[in-house]
Amino acid sequence: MTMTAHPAGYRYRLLPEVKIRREAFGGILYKYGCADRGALSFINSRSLVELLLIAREQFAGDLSTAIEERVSSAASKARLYTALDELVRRGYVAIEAVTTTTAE
Amino acid sequence: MTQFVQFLGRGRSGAKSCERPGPLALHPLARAAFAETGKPLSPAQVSGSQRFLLGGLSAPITVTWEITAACNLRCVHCLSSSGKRRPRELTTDQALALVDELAEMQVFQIHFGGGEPFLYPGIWRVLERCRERDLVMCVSTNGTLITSERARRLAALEPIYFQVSLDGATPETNDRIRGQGAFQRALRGLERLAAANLSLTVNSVLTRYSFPELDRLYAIARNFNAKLRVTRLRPSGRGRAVWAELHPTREQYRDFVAWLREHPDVLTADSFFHLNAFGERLAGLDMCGAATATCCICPEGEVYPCAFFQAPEFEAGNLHEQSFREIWQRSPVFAFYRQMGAGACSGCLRYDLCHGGCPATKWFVLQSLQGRDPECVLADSPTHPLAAKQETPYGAITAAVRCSSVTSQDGACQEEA
Repeated sequence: MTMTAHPAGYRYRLLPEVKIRREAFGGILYKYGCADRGALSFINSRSLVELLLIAREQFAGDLSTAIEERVSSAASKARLYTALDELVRRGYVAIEAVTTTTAE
Repeated sequence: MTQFVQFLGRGRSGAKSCERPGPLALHPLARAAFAETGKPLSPAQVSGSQRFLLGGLSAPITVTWEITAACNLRCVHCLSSSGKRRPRELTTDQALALVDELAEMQVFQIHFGGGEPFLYPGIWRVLERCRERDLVMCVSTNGTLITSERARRLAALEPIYFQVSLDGATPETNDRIRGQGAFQRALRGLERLAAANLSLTVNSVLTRYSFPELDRLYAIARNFNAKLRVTRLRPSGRGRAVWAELHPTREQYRDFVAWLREHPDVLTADSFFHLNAFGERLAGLDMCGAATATCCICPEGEVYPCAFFQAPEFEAGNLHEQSFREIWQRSPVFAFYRQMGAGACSGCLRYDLCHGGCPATKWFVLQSLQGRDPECVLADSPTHPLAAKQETPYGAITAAVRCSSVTSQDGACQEEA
């Protein structure tokens, strides 16, 4: 699969074990409920939740590609990347360094 | 096509059915109790986890499922008064259909308890169905029925984890609660589960007698490469008879908060949020998650706001008569529960920290929902509420739960098995 890199040379990937559920306020993220690994967060941004779902369903979890292809505003992109940094900190999203962006 | 649980045509039997209101009615005692709590809080009045849970979620985060009342132990504080199997317990087919329905609703986790879950005849098929439906499983067990063969079989069911109950670090303390020989038998179960590399917690109900043994309980858990999970004693089930004798003192609770600070890896199942009123917000939910983040399914299909609130007047519905989805979405008990007012805690400067404590404890001790939590730690010394949210440019992300179950941590917690 061809991956699109975040301009800074890395990309965000939604971890496959994370479950996402829409709610009226936005959504819930849940990661395997093991006692020493589990986590659950409420997110009150519907657009962020939709991005996560689109990334999972259409981009195999590649959030960077989802943002680049679905978000046009630079300000919106910046806000989303800031939110993703928080999700990285909470263990739902991983940052992967991009060694090559050349498609085969 | 998923088959939802809908067991119509099996009405309640005997006089009991005449005494109870219909499926969509609210018991008069419950109605009066809810009314006493005052006006529901408006969205502008709430903070912390309550911002998201007010009004309820589309589905529970965790469901506590007491799958059988059968138990080979007779713990004196058992929240569900377990012992013998009950006549209308869900059949295996009914249980499998319920798993499917919970999966369709996107429930994240099922927390099996009882009774002792391994005494339920269909337990393996139910666990396997959960695995097939990608539901995370937690099994709360007394550990006494875990053989090496069973442990190996369970290891194939990941994601699954286990809570083995120990209510003291010594046979003397544990067995006065859980019965003679229970300590050693639980340790053998822990050994076998640990040998199969299963994810484990040692689950311990905090009592005034086990409090001095916390360090040793912590060491026992570490010895099995397990986490220690400490939960609050509730006056539910047989616990009503012993709560006054066993529940920790206020000074013990104050020291417990300090102990938790020194042991950040200890789980608490979100059950000590009433201690936030000391002024220090503990990890996890800062409010009761019953009827919002979690609920409890009992052996005969009864659905309650949580495992600790198994009072007939607060039964939200029964799976022999309604689907789980219908109960979750339409039960008057849940609707009122989600809109409870602050009652006597209205105006308290620390309400934002503890949200009034545990309704089940209030009910079973005070027969009221409007009073203070009987273990309210305040001694007329109000302080400043703490901020509980963290904003990002793209909205708030609130880590509500460090799941040990839901809940739960688990919004749900299960003490006895």
